Amino acid sequence: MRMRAPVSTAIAMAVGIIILLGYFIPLALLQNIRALLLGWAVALMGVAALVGIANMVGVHWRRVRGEEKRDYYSVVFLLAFSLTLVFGLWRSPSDPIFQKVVTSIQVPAATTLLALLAVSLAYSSLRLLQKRQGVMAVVFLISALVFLVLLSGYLPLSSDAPLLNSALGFLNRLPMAGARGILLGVALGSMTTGLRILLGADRPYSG
Amino acid sequence: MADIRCPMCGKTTPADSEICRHCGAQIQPKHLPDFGEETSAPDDQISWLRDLQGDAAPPDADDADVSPDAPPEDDGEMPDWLTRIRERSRFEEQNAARAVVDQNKPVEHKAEEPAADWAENDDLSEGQRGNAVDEAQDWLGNLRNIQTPTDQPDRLEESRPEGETELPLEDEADGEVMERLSALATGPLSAGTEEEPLESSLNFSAIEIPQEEDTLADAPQEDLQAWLDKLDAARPSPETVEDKAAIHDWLNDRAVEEPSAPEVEPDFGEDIPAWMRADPETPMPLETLNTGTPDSAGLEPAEELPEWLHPPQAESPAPSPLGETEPAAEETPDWLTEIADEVFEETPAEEMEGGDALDWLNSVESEEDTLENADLTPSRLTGLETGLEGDALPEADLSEETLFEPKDSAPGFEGDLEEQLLADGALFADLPPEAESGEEGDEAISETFSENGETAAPQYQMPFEIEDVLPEEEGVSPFLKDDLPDWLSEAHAKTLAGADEGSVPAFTLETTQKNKNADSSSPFAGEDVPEWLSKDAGLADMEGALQEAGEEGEIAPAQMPSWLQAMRPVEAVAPGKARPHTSTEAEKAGPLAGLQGILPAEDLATQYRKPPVYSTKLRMNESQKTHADLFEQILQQENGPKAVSRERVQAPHWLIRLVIAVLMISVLVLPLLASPVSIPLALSSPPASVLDFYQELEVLPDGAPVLIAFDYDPGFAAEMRFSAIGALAHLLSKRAQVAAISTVPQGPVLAEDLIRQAQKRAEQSQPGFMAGTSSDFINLGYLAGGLVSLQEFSTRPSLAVQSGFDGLSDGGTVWAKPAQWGVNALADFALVLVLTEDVDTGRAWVEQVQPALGSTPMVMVTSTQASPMLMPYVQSGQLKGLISGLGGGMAYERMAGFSGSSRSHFHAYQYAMILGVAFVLLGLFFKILVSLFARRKATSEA
Amino acid sequence: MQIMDLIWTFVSFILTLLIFSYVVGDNPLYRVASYLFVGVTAGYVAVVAVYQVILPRLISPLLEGSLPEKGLALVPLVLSILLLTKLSPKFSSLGSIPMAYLVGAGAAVAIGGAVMGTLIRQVLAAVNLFDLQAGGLNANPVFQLIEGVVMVLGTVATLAYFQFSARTQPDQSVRRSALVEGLARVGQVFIAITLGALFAGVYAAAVTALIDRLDFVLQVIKDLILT
Repeated sequence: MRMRAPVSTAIAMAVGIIILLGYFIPLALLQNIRALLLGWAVALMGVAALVGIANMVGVHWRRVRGEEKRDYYSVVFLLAFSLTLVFGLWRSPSDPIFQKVVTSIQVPAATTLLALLAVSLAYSSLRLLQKRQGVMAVVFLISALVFLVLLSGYLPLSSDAPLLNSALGFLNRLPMAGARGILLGVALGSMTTGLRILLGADRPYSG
Repeated sequence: MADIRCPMCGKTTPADSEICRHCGAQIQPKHLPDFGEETSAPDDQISWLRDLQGDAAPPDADDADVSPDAPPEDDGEMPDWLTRIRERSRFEEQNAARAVVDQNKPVEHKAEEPAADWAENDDLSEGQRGNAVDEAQDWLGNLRNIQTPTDQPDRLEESRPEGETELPLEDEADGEVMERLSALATGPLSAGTEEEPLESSLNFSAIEIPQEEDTLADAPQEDLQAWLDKLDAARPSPETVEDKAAIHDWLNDRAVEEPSAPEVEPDFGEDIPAWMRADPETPMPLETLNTGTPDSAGLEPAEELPEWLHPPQAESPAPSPLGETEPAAEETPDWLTEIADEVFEETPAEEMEGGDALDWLNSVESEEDTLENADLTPSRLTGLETGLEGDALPEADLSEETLFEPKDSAPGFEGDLEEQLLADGALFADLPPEAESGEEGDEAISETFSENGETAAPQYQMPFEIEDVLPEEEGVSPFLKDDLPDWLSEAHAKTLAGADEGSVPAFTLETTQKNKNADSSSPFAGEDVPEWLSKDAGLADMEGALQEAGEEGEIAPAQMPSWLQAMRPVEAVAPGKARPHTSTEAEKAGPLAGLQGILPAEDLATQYRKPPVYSTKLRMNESQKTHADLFEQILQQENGPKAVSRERVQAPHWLIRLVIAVLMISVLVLPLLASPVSIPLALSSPPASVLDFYQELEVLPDGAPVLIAFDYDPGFAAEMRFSAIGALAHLLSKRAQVAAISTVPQGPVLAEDLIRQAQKRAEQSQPGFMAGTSSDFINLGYLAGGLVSLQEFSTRPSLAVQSGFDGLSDGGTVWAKPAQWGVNALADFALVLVLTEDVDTGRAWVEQVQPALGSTPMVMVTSTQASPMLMPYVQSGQLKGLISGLGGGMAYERMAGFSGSSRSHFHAYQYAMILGVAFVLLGLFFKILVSLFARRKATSEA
Repeated sequence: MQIMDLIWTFVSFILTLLIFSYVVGDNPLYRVASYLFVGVTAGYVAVVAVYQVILPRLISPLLEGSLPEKGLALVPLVLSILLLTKLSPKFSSLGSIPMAYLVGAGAAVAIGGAVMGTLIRQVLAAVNLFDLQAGGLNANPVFQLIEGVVMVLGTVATLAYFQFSARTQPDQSVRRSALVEGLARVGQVFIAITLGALFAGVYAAAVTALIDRLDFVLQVIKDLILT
């Protein structure tokens, strides 16, 4: 089988291995190289963010110019984007007025979107058992009920009642077992995936 | 003799005339030697006759010569064979004078006559090609040599190739021919036993010939002589040379076909031996005739050999009495074996038919003794040799029959033969049928192959079909009306009711007509022939032979001498013991008159059609089909998307959502407006993680450098504010030197906004508290790249934050201020506080930064949505404290003494949480109701 | 400034209402607000990226750095240019090199973090649950042991649930071993508990956001009424 993107693979493997070794080998030279590589990676990350934004802008631009099905909402996007970009580049992100873009537009909008989620979750909580049934659904329902109550703060962990305190504490920590298992699973998964990339088995970059 | 059709111009000329009156081409050989030399066909016949005499050895020899397989064996065998032939020749010479009287003579005459006929044909063809004269002479000479010695089967078989090749053309002479004839007469007896194993075709031919001879015996010698003379005259003609070439071609075709014959032969030989042995004499002549041709061909390599000869040759060698039958069996083509195995074995009826086909042969054999008429032999010979190209009739028949025979199985065959020998004597009748059957058989085979996957069965059925079809067949006689003999014409008139052309000679074949047009020797060659058929060398050869035979057949009937008519088996003569034929109709006219089960030649016309197009449809029975359908259904079920049952919606989603939203808003607004004063219970006893958090902040010295990561999305700004504002106020109250960092683009702005609010809170909570000056706070800005930037920041923070959120406007490096605090690495911070609502971000900080902090504690303020997943890090000690959500923040505020207006928010939060519990319980209640209702409905319906 | 604050407050108020109109379903108001939000966010991120990454990390070294620094700065610059080719389908293949660089670096960082930050520490933490000397959150040693067993069982069972490697059984069915299968079922319960807690947490977070928005709207309305 022909090896795809040999140069890219070599770069990925080399960079990855050097950075990974830096975790365990406190060699000055290695650490310097590693820092350099990491700095380049961060710079590339910034460029990648720009590329992503440019791509998104291009999509909306095509939508606006689309002859068949014009999306006029994209005009709003482009206007907002261009105005923000121009103003931001002009005044820099630290400008107090420009910061209003975040505090007065992004925060209220994003928070409201999250608030809508509250309504949606309330609606879905009505139908927890209608969509899914079985032991898992029942356990999930009970767990949700218990933690809704615990989070409400109506069952304080008071030291006055040791038994109740222990029980509530146990309930509070109970999700930790599954969470730790999930964290370990995620860590194992990321490690496996990373090793596959470093070994050249996976090449998500050569697409 | 009727008129002869000139092979050159295709026009008819009197049979007596040596030269075509239209084109001037010599039709008949002038001298026997010439005949032998010039025309391969005559030679073939002669050799064939010799073979018959030599117990079919000659044919074998020819076959061996022709077939590449045989040659090696021949060398060793030659001597014996030659000696036998010589012996025979001597014997023949002695008996030459008596030839007329003896059976041998008639046989010879027959052989010669046919030879002459075909010789004529050959001559014509040769005249066209002109090349093969020398070759023909050679093989003729060989034939002579062979003939003279004696046709002992062993020798013949062994010596076939050699003798043929060695024989000089010059040797051939009238006298030799006579000798041969005599030898034939004598030979048959001796060779018969040996030749048994020989190919069925050979046997058949041999059988037929003897029969003819027997019957012909009555025929006047004069005819024979005249015929011989004609032959002689014809030989020298250049045309004969051309004929030779033509013959060679068709012989080659035959050779290709040979494989099929060999297959049959073995079986046949084994099965048939009985009758062969029983009638050693009779079969001999036929064999010799057949072999003779092959011999001639055999003289020269396969290339020179006529195609039709090849098959016999191949057959003969393999089945050769010497025990070569085994090799022959090996040589048998696959399709033949398959056919034999499948069709013949399976269908007994077929066997019967085959038996029938053989029957007439048997009858011929039995009649051989009686048939001595030269007329018959010539006609047959012509037919056989038509071989010329084909005499294909006999040979084709033979080959086909052989094919059939094996299938039919020898056992029955033997019995049939015996019976026939006892009774039937109609050589002529047999002969034509053979020819017809042969042709038809070939065609039928081809058709059956093409049409039906079952190749064998059709072949077997052929005879029946032919018989049935005979009356119906369209007259497609190769013979022109003029050419047709009287009896033939009569027969045609009788048999063919609606036929346009009255002449439907028994020898005529549809293939011949078609072949005429077709360039390829094989009638099947062309568009009509399916690929596999065309590819099948054996079949192609067979077809080619048939074509040639058909062509010759056309001529042959024209040459049909009057004696032939006389020889026609009459019903009275027909043996009563003849096997019952499936078709009750008996041939009433023509040479086959009186015979039942005769293969109708006319059928070929109707049967020979374009091979049907094979349908690609899979043939399956009902059970298979049902299974297949079932399987298909299962697959469809698997592949097809499952129909998603649409949820029953009593009310529109948006309405329900609106109701819920209104309900929630109304519930939440009340506490916000009322501003309840009561303190929630939860605030009285904060969680342990919050206590730890508080402890970590409490132990911080004043003015301690603290790194705060504002890594949360703007959407969670409110929750993070509620959660962290108390802790931030606590830090600011301790005059902590705060460095803000973020991996979220909005983080720096959110950081400054939250810090400002925290300062307000601190000022509100602690009137004497003055928010830290700008020197106490530095916004390190945004770290692009998530994990990577965090890793870089953890190892080289100064490099990671080169500009800071405020940019490079201030000129110096951003890290200058932390450096003033004494912070050169993250471990130098007194505390690292991470504000994040995202599990992955929190995990990233713990994984990438926490290890680099050393003893510096890391605490975290997070959203309630992430706290369950981040708690393990608290339990593991990687996070020294955790504040989650509004509740945790309120608890911390109360604990740290920075409570503000959050109390009303917490009340609203509590109501909302209880409302959520109510929704869940409500949904559970509905679910139970629905299930109960469904059960009742189900029970009531039941 | 107050006018500007009022304007920004009004903008926030309007945006909140427009987006909240989604309660009655998707509508143009919601769409306009959401597109505006996305556009502003994209513009803001672009600005931040330029000011926080491009300028200090790619441009400044070329302008102000020493010669070696300039040389080294060319590498990320070239890689960045190659990365920009991702925008062009024609040359996007060139972008695979910087992408490979990013993927390799990210993979290495992920591996190191997972090993150093989670795997070792969390396994140790699971074991430390049985450390009575450590004096866990639960004062009662018996309860602590029980809790430790439950926690370890839950962790292992959850991991077993994510264990997808299976073997072909004698009956040709592909299954996990009986032990793993049983553990996976237990793990399912623990995962359900955790997910229930997460659901409650998400609901709580959303409710908090709703409370904040309601409070904001009430404050704006109150201010409007008062003013």
